[in-house]
Amino acid sequence: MAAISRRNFLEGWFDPSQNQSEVNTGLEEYTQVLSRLQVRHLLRRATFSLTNSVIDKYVGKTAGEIVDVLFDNADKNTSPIQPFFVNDVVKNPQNLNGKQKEEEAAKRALHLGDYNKELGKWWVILMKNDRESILEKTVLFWHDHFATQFAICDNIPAVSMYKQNDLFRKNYAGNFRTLLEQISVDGAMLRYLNGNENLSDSPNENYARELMELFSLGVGNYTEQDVREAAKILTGWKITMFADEGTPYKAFLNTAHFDANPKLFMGEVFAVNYDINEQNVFNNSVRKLIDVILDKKGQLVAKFLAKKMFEYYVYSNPSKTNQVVVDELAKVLYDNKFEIKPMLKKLFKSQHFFDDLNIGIQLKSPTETIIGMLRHLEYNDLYARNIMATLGLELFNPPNVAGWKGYRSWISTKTLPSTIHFLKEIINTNNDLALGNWANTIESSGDVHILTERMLELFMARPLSAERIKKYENVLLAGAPDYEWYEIFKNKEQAGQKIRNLLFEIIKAPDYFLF
Amino acid sequence: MGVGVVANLNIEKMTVSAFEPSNYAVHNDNILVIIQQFGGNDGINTITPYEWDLYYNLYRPKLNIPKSAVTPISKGKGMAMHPNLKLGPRNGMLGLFESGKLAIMHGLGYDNPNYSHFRSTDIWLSGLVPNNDSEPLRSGWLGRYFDKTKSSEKTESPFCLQVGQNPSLMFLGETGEKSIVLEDAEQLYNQAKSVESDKISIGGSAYFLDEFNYVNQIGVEVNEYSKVIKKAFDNGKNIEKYTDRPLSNQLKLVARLISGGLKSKVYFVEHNGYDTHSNQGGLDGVHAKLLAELSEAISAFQSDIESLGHSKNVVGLTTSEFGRRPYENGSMGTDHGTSNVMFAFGDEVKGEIFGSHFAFLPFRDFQNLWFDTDFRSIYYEIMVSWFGQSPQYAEGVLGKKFAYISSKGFLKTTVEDKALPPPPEVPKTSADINSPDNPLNPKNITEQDTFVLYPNPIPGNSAFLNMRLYVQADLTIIQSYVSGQVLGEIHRKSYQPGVHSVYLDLLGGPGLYLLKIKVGRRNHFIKCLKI
Repeated sequence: MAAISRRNFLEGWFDPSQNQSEVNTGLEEYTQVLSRLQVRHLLRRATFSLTNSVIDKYVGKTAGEIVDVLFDNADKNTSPIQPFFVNDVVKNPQNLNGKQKEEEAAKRALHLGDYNKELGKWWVILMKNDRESILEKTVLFWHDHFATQFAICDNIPAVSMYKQNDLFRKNYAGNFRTLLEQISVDGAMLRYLNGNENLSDSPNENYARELMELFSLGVGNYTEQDVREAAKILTGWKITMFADEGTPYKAFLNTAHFDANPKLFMGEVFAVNYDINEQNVFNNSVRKLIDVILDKKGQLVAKFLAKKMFEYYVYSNPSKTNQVVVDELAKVLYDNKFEIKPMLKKLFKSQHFFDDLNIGIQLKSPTETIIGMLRHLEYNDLYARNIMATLGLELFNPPNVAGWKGYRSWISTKTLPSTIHFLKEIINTNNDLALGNWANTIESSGDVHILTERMLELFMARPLSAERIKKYENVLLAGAPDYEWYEIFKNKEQAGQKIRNLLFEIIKAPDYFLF
Repeated sequence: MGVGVVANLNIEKMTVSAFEPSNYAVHNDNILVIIQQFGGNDGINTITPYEWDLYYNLYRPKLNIPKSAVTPISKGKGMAMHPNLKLGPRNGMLGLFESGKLAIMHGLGYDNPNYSHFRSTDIWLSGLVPNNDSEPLRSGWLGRYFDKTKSSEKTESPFCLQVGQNPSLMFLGETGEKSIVLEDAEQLYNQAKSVESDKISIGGSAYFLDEFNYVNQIGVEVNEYSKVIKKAFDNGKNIEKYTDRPLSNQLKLVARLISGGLKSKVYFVEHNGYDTHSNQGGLDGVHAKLLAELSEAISAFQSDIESLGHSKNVVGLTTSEFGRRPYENGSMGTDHGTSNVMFAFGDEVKGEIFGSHFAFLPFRDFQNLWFDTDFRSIYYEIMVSWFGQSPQYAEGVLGKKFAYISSKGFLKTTVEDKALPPPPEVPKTSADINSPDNPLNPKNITEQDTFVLYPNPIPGNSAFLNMRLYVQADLTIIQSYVSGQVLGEIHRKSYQPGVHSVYLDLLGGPGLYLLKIKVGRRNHFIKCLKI
């Protein structure tokens, strides 16, 4: 029973909301200092990073203090080291002959294939090293929101995918208006949704439709006429991926393909009474289009984005979305002229966010499970990217323009057994000594009760019953009395073997898959 | 199977809870195999209306299957198959049709069509047609079908088996998932050994318990069913040779599991890539390649199932979230449309063509077609005729009853039912160019075309004319005083059918004017006030 009383001491309470079935708290600031469980909750939802010492560091502070740190750290890191191939350019092999042609074709194949995987590896490294910062978690949100796949008929080159990712990183909590403007002329997006085939003579509606359906308004909040007119407004933008055909990866306007006729979008006339050049068309067509959407239907846009962020950071069960809270969030976004940071800070500091009912209820995506494990154990970063892909979350390659389905689709009869299988592989890449040494970094790991609790705290969604804690403790002890652990632990190799067994048990638990 | 509490299920304002679990009975060993063509298959180039000049001249001047290359399947109905549907064992899907094992069903769709892949897919999978776009679709038709079993009762095999990655909405019931998802039976078996296979009872708050129990339940099911599936896989075999392509491999696995004695009622496989907005191709290209894969996979599967001795109990079905528009677009592709053609195959289907070619259903607007069979007719018939459930049971799943396609249905087992509601009403139309019921009759053209001037009254000189044209036409606009005195021609251009916003610069000062819009040989007039 010792374990329970210690936890009570640490947590201060134990599931007080057991009988409550709906969350009633709103966005008022949660001003009390945070318990261990609440710190875990905040760090898990806002970051990929959780260690016992980080929990120790923040426990007893307020949400206000910690959340500000998470954003400040993010702001400092929006220009991380670039992938090695970023300045590499490719010429169009079709413009070349002989050996040169072969060389450029080989280089192009790298950019379309392997480098996209390298790019995933680059991001895995950023995610696992992103400490006490909300940055990478939010960049992944944008990648899912403005979903773009590199693997289309003629793959999108890795540099173009990188540039899109950089756009998300630089604007991670910036202004939604800017994101909508920039993504409309983003090279990878122009390729993915046929924007570069959207010509005045034959408009292609693909991007225009998704801009409204998936990126800003939601289905049902625009007309087919809006789609057609928006497509015309967005005509003429092109992208080249080749250094000998212009500035590679940067969108430009082909004036000949821009529809110079006036258009009528949501009752607003888009007259072309200006010189047709890139800057003018960007300002008077692309920007104006986004302005009209946000001016005419800004509240709908705010609700659409607020709901999506609520589901990503609080609870992704669509039938349990708290509409009152979403509406309040939307209002914060709208009142702040689509600046995202004030809304996110409000959310993460709110009573609603810390409501006990909301703790430990999200299903882990492959990124959560794999990055969460890589934070602690050694593993090959490229393989980690590949495992995530096998489990259904391939970075830079979402399944379609709607992004990942999320929620319970992460845990299916297909993915549950294979996730456990791959986690075992990651654990087994670390030998006994490595696992023993890792456990040794956990404070007071010589006490079997503390070590068990601290490991469970890292991986499980919520505090466990005394009975279940005992069960896990017994995996470490393997029949020995608890006081002997101190001796066992002196031999790190011997301890590591036990740690492995405990990890194997932990990754099977249903609450391991929740956070 | 499944977790949670059975709630009263509200389908289209009808509460469905009156079914006693005891009503459920597996009456037979019949199996359904569903092939989902994700992206919206272009049915018009799958089954080609090759006798219709409009197909070549108006709809698909570039993206057509040339008359010289088509494989006619009905001279009377003017239909041919895409040549790639000949590929595969025994002449592919063409061979299946010729031997009476392929039903070609035209004109399937639903009312108030949605043009979003995701929404329209959800509508097909759920078997519910929502009243508006925001109405959530939370369960699938087969999920609800299998909901009606006693939740405590364990079946020997999973109800449904899905080859792929993500669980489909089709199998999500109000009481949980009704399918097992797998890609590889042996891998599933090996990996499933290490999941938590015991039901764990814990306390905690509501949402947490919901999700905990969900994950726990997945583990329990996968552990149990992976053994059943492995056993069927080991006992099963394939006789026919399949092409080594994803769809063929999926169906090969399905055939093997069936032959190994797995008792699942429904198998689901996916074929992706049908969203051909650009470079769709005709005889060659993306769409042709997809049809080749489809034909090779389906014909190999059917042949295999026959050799394995299960063909009396297996029926296959293709579905896609929508058809594509009759008119090709400017990027050598086709855009999201509405009604479509669907296939059913097997010994027990009626090997016929149902309906006339859907491409010649009337237009419901300027570019999308009407439908004449609700897609849920097929689901309804499957439940009643193939699974042997009562009409009331099927009605409970879908919220209402549906007419069988062409009233006789596509299954040999179907008995005509006079009590079923009528099929959807389609506006009267006629193929005779001189008939007033033919929207293409030149006399009718301007009667259905619409013209709206915006704004009106007009401040200044500029206004927009929103036009909806039903056929290609040369259009001239002449501005005159109300007295009839002409000011001049203000617009002249040739237009494709569709909606157009035409920018107009009007002549003269403030006052009342008449715009004479000349479309082909007909005139249309709009009064406008300049202020």
